[in-house]
Amino acid sequence: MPALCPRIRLELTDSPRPDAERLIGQGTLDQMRKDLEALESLGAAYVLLDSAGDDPQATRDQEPLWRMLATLAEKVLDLPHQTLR
Amino acid sequence: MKIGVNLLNWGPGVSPDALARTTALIEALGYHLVMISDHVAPTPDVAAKYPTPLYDPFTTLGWLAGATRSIELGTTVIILPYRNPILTARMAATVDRLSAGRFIFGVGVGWAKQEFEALGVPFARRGAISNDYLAAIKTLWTRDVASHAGPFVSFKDVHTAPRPARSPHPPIWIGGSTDAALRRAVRYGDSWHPNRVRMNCCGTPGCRSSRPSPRPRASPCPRSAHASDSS
Repeated sequence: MPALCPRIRLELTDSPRPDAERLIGQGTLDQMRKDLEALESLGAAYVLLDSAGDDPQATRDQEPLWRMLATLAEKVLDLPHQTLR
Repeated sequence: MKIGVNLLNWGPGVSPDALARTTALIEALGYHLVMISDHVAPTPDVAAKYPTPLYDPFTTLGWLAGATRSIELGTTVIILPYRNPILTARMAATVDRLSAGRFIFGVGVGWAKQEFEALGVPFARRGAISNDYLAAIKTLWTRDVASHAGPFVSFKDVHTAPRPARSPHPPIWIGGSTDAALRRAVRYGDSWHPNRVRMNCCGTPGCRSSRPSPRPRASPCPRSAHASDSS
């Protein structure tokens, strides 16, 4: 059987988003953590974070992506051990 | 669980400097993987979502292979049916060699009908074409001299070197959220790579508290919103 390697949105917000209205990876840092915990419990081998939103013009400014990646790496992900904090 | 980042190789803000700087940051932070996207002929339906400039994935990954040390490099996803499979196999094997075995081959069947028309590829057959091309590419990656006879591509005694660095070949990730994509992942892939997932999409209220499973089940993702791929 193939491994599970989903591509999910990376869109961190200050306020929680209703679960029924959001994709995995959309919401607060706590919602992202719970999403990743759920994927880890399902046995995901990789998760690919996708910052591409609905506005292509957003590609002009890379700094919001850099900040989100740094925040996740610092507060949610234990990247050296391939798990979550 | 490894974590990767979809590096945007398209859009008005993309440049060699932006690609290099963002990749360097991702690797420095300790992420495990960078993947980039594919479109060959951005017709209006594609350009609306993926505006140019759009950097070719194999060329870009070959360049990034030389600028990185350990991070894995992949595609999310190569649109398989509109690229010649012999050429695709060679380009992917070359990237895998240039990166010392860090390449992941993510593939999909595509969704942009206008783009298929521009390239002269039958949109309605894209699933079946992809299946044939995957079989051909796996043969090309695992034989020094390869032959294949399929419904959409046939060749005989093609010399393949360099073979990929990873044995037997780079991991194959099958993109898409349709039943056909999942069948393709089981038959040809090493991984299933669905996109834009909803956690409650299987319709089970207790989906979040599902028992841990070492392998994916058939229903954690929705049917694709794109045109049908029934092959």
